[in-house]
Amino acid sequence: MLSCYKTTQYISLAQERQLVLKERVSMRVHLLLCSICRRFNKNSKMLSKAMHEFTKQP
Amino acid sequence: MNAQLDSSFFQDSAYISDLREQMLKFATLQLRDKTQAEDAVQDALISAYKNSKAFTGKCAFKTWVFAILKNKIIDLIRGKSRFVAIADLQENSEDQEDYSFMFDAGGHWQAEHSPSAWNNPEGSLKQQQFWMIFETCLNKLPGPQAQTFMMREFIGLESAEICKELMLTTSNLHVLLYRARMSLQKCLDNNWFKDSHHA
Repeated sequence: MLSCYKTTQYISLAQERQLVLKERVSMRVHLLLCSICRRFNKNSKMLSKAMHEFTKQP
Repeated sequence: MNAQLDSSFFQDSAYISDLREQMLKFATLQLRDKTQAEDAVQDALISAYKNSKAFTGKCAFKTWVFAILKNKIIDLIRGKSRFVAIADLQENSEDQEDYSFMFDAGGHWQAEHSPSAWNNPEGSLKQQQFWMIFETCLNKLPGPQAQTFMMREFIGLESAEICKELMLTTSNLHVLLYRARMSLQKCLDNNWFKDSHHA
């Protein structure tokens, strides 16, 4: 199974290019089983959103 | 276009001064050089002044001034990055941080480095104090991380273009972006979200 370390790398990578099937599936499986990585993933999305908002900050 | 309205942007000194501050903040984060940032902002404002006739709304005007500024910054980065960023990449030890310390030998999260649950992040985005922390966290990123991250997520350039501009390989870029995101997430975690009273 994919490690948490590798999963965090895939989460970042997915913002740069489409993951290949094998990467995508192994990441999904890991996220199903690991609540800490699910939390990390959620926080990553929030970070992107914050960055997007930051560009619009007065 | 209405001539009175055109020049009004530049006659409203409070507005221009605010706009200038925002531009400076943006340019400084990008260039890491206060003098260069001030020059870029000055140039952008002069171009804007010369061409302000085309704009009637402040919103469109601001978008357009920032577009000019982004181009000035990209030109400056183009000029200096080839040697600066790449040299930093090899020598800046801060930047060698690979974040594996957050995980154990098997690649699982170390308890003390596990991300915390971010309560009410939407609410945080509305707080001035959050944005001060956010900016501090951005400013703490080592040069090459900050540069690539801002080009990617603030200016919105595509990976391929950043690699070309900075003469980085795709995998170098991915590593830098990964580190920037890890660093920012950890910084926000430690300095904002772990203090539950903010949420």
